[in-house]
Amino acid sequence: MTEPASRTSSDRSRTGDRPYALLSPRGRYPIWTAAALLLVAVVVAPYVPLAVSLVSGGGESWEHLRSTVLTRYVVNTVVLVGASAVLATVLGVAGAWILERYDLPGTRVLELLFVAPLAVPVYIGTFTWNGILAWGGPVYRLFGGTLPFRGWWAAVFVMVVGLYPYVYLTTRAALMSNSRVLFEVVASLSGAGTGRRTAYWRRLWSGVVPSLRPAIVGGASLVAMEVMNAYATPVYLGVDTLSTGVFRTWFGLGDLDTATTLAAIILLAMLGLIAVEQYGRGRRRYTAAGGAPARPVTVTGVARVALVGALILPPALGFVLPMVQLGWWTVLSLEAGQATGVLATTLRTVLLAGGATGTILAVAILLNLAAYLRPGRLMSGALRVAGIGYAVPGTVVAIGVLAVFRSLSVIDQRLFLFGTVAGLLFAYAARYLAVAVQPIQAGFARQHRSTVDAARSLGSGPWRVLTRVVLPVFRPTLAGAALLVAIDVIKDLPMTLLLRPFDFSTLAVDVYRLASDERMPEAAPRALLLAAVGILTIWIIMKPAVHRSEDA
Amino acid sequence: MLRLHRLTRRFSGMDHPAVDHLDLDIAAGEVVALAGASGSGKTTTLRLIAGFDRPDGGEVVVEGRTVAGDAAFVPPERRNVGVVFQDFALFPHLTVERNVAFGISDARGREQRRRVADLLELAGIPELAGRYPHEISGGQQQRVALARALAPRPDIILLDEPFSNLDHTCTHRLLSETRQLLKGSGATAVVVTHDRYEAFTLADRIAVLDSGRLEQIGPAEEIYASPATRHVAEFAGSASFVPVWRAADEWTSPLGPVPDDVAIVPARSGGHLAVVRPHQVEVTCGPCHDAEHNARILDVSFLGAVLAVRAEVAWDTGAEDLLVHVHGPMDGLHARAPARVDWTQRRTGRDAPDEARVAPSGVLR
Repeated sequence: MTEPASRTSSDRSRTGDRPYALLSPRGRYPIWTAAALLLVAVVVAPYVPLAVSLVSGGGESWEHLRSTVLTRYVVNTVVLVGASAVLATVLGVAGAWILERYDLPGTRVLELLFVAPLAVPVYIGTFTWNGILAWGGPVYRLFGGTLPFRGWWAAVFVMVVGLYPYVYLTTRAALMSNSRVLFEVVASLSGAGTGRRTAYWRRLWSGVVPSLRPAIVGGASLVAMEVMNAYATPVYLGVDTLSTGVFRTWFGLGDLDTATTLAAIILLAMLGLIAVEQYGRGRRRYTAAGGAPARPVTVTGVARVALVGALILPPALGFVLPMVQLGWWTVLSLEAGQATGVLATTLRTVLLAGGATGTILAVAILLNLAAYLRPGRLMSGALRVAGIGYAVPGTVVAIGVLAVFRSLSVIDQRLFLFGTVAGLLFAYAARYLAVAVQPIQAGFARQHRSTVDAARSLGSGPWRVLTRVVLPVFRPTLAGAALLVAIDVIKDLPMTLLLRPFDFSTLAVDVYRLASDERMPEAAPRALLLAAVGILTIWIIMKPAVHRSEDA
Repeated sequence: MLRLHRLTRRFSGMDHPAVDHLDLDIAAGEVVALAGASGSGKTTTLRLIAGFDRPDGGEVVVEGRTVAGDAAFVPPERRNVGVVFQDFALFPHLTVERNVAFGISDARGREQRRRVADLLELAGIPELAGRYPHEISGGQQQRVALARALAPRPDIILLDEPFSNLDHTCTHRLLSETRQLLKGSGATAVVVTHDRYEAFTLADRIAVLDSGRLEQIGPAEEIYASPATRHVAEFAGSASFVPVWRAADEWTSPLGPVPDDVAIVPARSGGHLAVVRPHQVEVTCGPCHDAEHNARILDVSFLGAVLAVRAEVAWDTGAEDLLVHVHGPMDGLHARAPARVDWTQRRTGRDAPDEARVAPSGVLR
C-alpha cells in the first residue's frame, strides 16, 4: 500500500531487509553465492554416482554378489553396529551416571581416563588386542593359553571399549545441565514409595530417561557411525561387512559399478541412521532444566571400591592395556633397530595433513563468508549439505570419488585422478569439510555486526575488514578447526588406503600394512604416534573453550 | 553541513516506513540529538547517514556532496564519518591503543602514536593503552569507542545510544565530558538517544522523532517550553494534560485561565490540551473544606527536593490526573484527601535541572 510516487524504491526494499553487510548494503552477492554453491556441488559430487547407481543397478558381478555374500554383509553389519551401539551405550551411560552421582576419590583423573580410549583409533586397538591374546603374548605367558581374537565378538569388543566415550560425553553433558532436577526426582521417587521397587524403576524409566534420551541417542548414533565407517577392524578380524565389501568388490573384483551400488546402500543406511537420531531427539536439544549440578553422594567401603573399579575397567581395556602393549612392542622394535622410516612417514603424513587442512579450511571459510554475506535459507542449507560427508563412511566417499574420476576421465584421460595427491585431497575435503565448517559457522554467528560496521566507518574497505577484523577475531576458532581437521586426516585409513598414490604411505596406512603382516613391533611406534595425536584431540575437546572474543 | 532531504527507509512487515520523508539540516560543529521512543526510526536514520544502509528514497548530503540518493551511494569507509555504537563494538583482538589507531593506520608511525596518545589523554584514559577491551569497564570502553571514532578527524560523528549500556550513576560526568570532547573536535555530531537527560545535556538542538517522522526540532528550552505535540511535551519532561478551550481570546481550563508560560498542544481527538508541568500548578490547600476542594489526592511520593503529588482534578465534564510538585513539607497531604489545585501564582522559575531526571516519565501514562 505505497503511494505511486515511491513505488520504485519500495520495490527495491523487497530485495532484502538486511540493514548491514560486509560489502554493500542489500547486496545479493551473486558471484560469492555462485562460487559457494559450486564448491558445495564439488564436495557432494561423490554421491551423485551413488544415487545414479541405485537407479541403474549394479555392475556385472552384482547378481553374483547379491546371491552369495550380500545377505552376510548386511547381517554382519547390522549385528556389529547394533551390538556395539547398545553395549557402548550401557557403558557410557553407566559411567556418566556414576561420575555425576557419586563423590569418588580422584574424580578429575577418573574423568579423563574414562574418555582416554577415544585417543586410540579402533584399528590400532584391534591389532593390539590380537597381540595381547595371541600366541607368545602376555596372556599366553601368564596363563599358558591363547584366545583366538577373531570374528564378530572380537569386533564388538574393540568397538565397545574404544567408542563408549562418545555416549559418555553426550550423556554426561546432559546430566551436568540438569542433574539436580533429575536426582531430586529420583530421590523423591525412592522416598515416596513404600519400598515398591518396580514402581520406582518404572517411574525412573518414564520420568528421567526421556530427558536424557536426546543425549544418549546422539552418542549412540556417533558410535554407530564410527562402526559403519570402520574398515580395517572387520577386515582384520574376518568379519565381512558392507564397508569391507565395497572395498573388496573394487580391489578384488575390479567392479566399480557394483562397489558403487554397495556404497549407495550404505549411504541409504546412514541416512536412515541420521533420521533415527533426529527422531530420537525429537524437538529437544541437549539443554534442559539448567541450574546447579547436584551435590554428589558419598559412598564408602565396598561400594566405593566397586564403583572406582567399574570406572577403571573400561578405559583399562580401551586405553591402558593397548598402550602398555604398544609401548612394549616399541621398545622391542627400537632395540631391534626396526623403527627406520618412521620419521619419513611422519613427515609425509604431516605434510599431507597440512595440505588437506589448508584446502579444507579455505573452502570452509569461503562457504561461511558467502553465507555471512547472504543470510537466508539457501546458504544455510548449502552449508548443511556441504557437511554431510562426515556422516558417510570413508569407503563410501572413496568409491564415490573414484566413480567421479572415472566419469571425468571420459572427457580427458588426465582427469582420472585416482592415485594422486590431488585425488586424496578431494576425498578428504568431501569427508572432513564439516569439521571445519561448523566451528567457523559458530564463529561467524558470534561476530558482532557492529564490529564490521565500526571498521567500515573507520575507513576500511571490505577486504581490510575481512583480514584485519573478521578473521582475526576468531583466530582461536580457526586454529581449533584446523587442528581437528588435521588430526582426522592423519588418522584416516580407508580413504587413504583406497586412493593413495602407488607406494605412498601415511602412518595409518603403514600401521595397517605392517599389522596385517603380523609385524606388530614395527607397527607399534607408528601406532603410538597416532595415539599421541588422538590424545591431542581429547585435550582440545575437553579443554573448556575460552575465546577472548566472547568477552567483549 | 549535513542535510537529510525527504529521507525514507521501509522495512517489509512494518505498516509505516521506519524513516518517513525526513528533512533535517545540521550546521557544521553542531551537536544534534535524535530523540524518540524505540521504533521511532532514529537508529535507522543514523545508519543511513553512516552508509550502513541504503535509503529507499530521499538523500543524505554532506557538504554539498550527495552521499546517498537515487543516483549515488558512497560506502561508509569513504564518508569520513565516525560512529560510536551502542555496544561500543571495540575490536576484541586489539589493545585499546590499536583500537584507537585502527582508523588512522595510513598515518606515519610517529604521527599516529602521538594522535592516539593525545586522544587517550583527552578521553582521560591514558593508562589503558595496553589493555584489551574485555579488561576494562563499560564506561572506559565507551571512552575508547569515542576516541577511536574521533581519531581520523571525521566530518561527522554519530553516536548510537552511547550511554544506554552504562550504569546511570556514572553517566553524568561522562555526559559533560563527552560534550566537551565533541565540541572540542569541531565535528558535526548526531546523537541517538531515548533519554531526555542525555539529549538535553549533550545537544545544541534536539530533533524528536515519532514513527519515522520529525515532530519538532529545536534547543532544549524550546522543546521543553513550547512543544509542538503531546508526544514532544512528554519527551521533554513530566507533564499532565488538561483540556483547554478558547474563551474571549484567551485559553481557559478547568483550573481557570491558562497562564502565558503554559504550552498548548493539539489533542488527538480534536481540541487542545494544556501541557501542565508539575511546577506550573500548586496545591493551595489540603486537606480543604468541602466547598474549596476541586481535587482528590491519589498518591504522594517523596522525591527528595520535592514531593510529587498525583491528584485527580474533577470538573463538570470530566476528570484528569495531575502531577504537582510541592516544595517543602505539607502536612495533611495523603491519599484520598480532598485538595485544591491551582495554577502556580508566584513564578519562581523552572524546576531544578534534576527535575527531568528524578520524575519518572511513566507516572502519568
